[in-house]
Amino acid sequence: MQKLTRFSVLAAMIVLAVLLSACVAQPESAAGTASEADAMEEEVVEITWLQWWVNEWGPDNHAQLIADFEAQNPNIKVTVVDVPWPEMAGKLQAAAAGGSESYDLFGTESTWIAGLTKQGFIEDLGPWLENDPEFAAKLTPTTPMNLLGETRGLCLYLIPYQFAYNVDIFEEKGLEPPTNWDEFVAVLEALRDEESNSYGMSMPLQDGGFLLLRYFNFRLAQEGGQMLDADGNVAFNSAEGVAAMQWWKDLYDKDLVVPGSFGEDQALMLEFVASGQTAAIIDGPFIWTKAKQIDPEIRMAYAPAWTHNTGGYSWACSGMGIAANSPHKEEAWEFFKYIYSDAVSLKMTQTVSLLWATNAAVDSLADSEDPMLRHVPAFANQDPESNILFAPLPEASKLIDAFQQAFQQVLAGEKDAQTALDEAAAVWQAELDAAK
Amino acid sequence: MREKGTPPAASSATGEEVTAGKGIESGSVRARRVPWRMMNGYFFVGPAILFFLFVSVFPLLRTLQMSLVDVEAGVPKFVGIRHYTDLVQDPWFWNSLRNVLVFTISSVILHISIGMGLALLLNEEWFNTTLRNFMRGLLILPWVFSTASSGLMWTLLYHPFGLLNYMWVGLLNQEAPIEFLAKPGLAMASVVAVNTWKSYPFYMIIILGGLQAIPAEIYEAAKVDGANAWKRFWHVTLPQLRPILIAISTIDIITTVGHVDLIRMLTRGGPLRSTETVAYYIYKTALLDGNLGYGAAVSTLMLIMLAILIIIYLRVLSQGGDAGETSF
Repeated sequence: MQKLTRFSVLAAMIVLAVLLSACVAQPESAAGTASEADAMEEEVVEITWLQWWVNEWGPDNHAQLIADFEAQNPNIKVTVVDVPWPEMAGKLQAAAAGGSESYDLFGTESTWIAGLTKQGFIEDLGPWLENDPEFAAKLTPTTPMNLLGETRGLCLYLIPYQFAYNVDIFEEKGLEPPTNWDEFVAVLEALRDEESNSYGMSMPLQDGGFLLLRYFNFRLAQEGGQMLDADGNVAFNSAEGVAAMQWWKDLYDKDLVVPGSFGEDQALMLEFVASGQTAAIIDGPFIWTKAKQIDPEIRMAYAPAWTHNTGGYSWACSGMGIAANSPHKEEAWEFFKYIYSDAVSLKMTQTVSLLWATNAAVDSLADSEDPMLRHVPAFANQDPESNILFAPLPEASKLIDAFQQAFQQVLAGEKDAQTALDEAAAVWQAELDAAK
Repeated sequence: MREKGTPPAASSATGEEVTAGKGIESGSVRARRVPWRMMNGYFFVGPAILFFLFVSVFPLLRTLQMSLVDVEAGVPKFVGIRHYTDLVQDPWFWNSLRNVLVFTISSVILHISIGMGLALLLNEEWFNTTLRNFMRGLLILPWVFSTASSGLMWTLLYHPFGLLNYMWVGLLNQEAPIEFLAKPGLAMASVVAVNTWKSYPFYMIIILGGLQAIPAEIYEAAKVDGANAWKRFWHVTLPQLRPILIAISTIDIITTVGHVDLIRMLTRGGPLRSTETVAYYIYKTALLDGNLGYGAAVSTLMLIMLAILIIIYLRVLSQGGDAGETSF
């Protein structure tokens, strides 16, 4: 009897709690018929855009972009959820894991695509592009972010990595921008001053993706190597890969970059450049816009295109995806069409030095006077076969971790380049085989 | 009015007087009232039980369930104990376990010893009470900083261009700056130092509270018996603080093992994964890589290990207590 009573009381309490929470969760359903205001709200669809670009593009510029879209599409309201880049991957993965319907579209890096696909969070955009050939024709061949034959996102802007420098410091010191790798080292030697403990460049190695794209892939492309071969198998542990790795090891040992590379991140590197503590950097074109957020007067430029064994360059992109569980995919696609439109492409390329991943933007660079972007056509075209575009990979984070480990081990003198690259390659190949 | 020789009236939940032990009528009243009296208790503990179920038991069971599942294209697939067998063979898991042991043991020792030392100082009679109160406020200051701001501040302090290296190279004329966060052994020590700086005030305050609760008569008696300062500390202060020290060291172990934010801010587990603790490994695997099943398996294993560690720790410590005292 007592057991029965206890059970009844507990059951009654749980039912009561559920009923109470239900009452709290849906106050509107009890309110009776919908008001006129509700009806108006139903006509305007709100899409939520999770991304990290507000500061990168400039808050005013960004707000204007949204305002223009809403003016053109009065039935769609865009709500932006701006997250600092370092938190973005975690936020996206958490949303994916929880099956969140909070976001309709989002910014993404190639390295995050695999995890999001695994969670079923990211829409296959292939059918959308097939149904909209006019829109698809506006995009460059490298715009689709393909993983295992499916388009899981579209590159929003393309990023070549090249030596960028502070124009004022170079003018002050009477230095010319380097035109090849030997001159690059010579410039760093000229900028190194032991008395004032100053360096020409910092080389952050805390982030695996960062060191892969900016350092290893750049030199690998110019050595004539590739990350993966035509069959999708690992190729970075080739002779060219070893030479690329060894080159960075030699540079690191020359004490020409700011000490503490292993513990340095992008934010710190940006501070050094923007504050004039270092005069150069290897990064994407957006670095100038970012530096201007700290010092609006800073002037930066890219060095002319380099050639070693080849004229290839390391390329990556940041892109956008649509949430597979979004109830507003049509509206999100409308926003895609707007953001990749010729007008927006040209505006963004001109105002924030970002190479939009559209044909209109690429064509516009032919007569560009932008000190960063005017060199980009040469990076792209001087040896297209040798370019390395970082594409989405299965288990990308794990692979990048393995590569970072190898890179750091070589620079720390713990392993030789061939051994470290072979070990990383074994991890990569196992994951690639599993994905196949 | 109660009749002479009858038991006192019991008070029911409704405040009615229920007369027990007299004939059939009073017996039936008792039978009806007892469950209601019991229900009172259930209503009082009910919210706490519900809260416990929702915030502890449910997430725990959910994590366990997730650890037995893999997700492919959003579809969960039962994989049994595969994640656990993978985990045992995962060298990075064992690396993170080794790191968290170093991180936790050194942090806890430093937290408690520095907290204890400063609490003893602040508990003494100072020549100036205002100065003592000012010092109390000053010493609590690091606790006020958020972990994010502490991490950022120390990243800048540790950097080759930071204040510490400015003094090292500029004032002490050393050749090269110290790469605090860039050398594997030094990076762990640097993270432990920041964790100590950030957390010692909490332990200092708790210990100070414990010290102030120790009756002065005990110290006076010890003095009369000829105990010097060290003996008074060893034979009076420490035994009196024993329950507090056990409690705070247990809390410290649990919180230190779970640290992700500080490591995320300072080193991201590097260099060469030398500061990658189990909690950070879980964060990276589950949230950054999207391998929730594997991350859940690491979490479950970590929970079991931590529970065993805490049980052993408490058992060992409680063995040294006074007779009948379990301390915690």
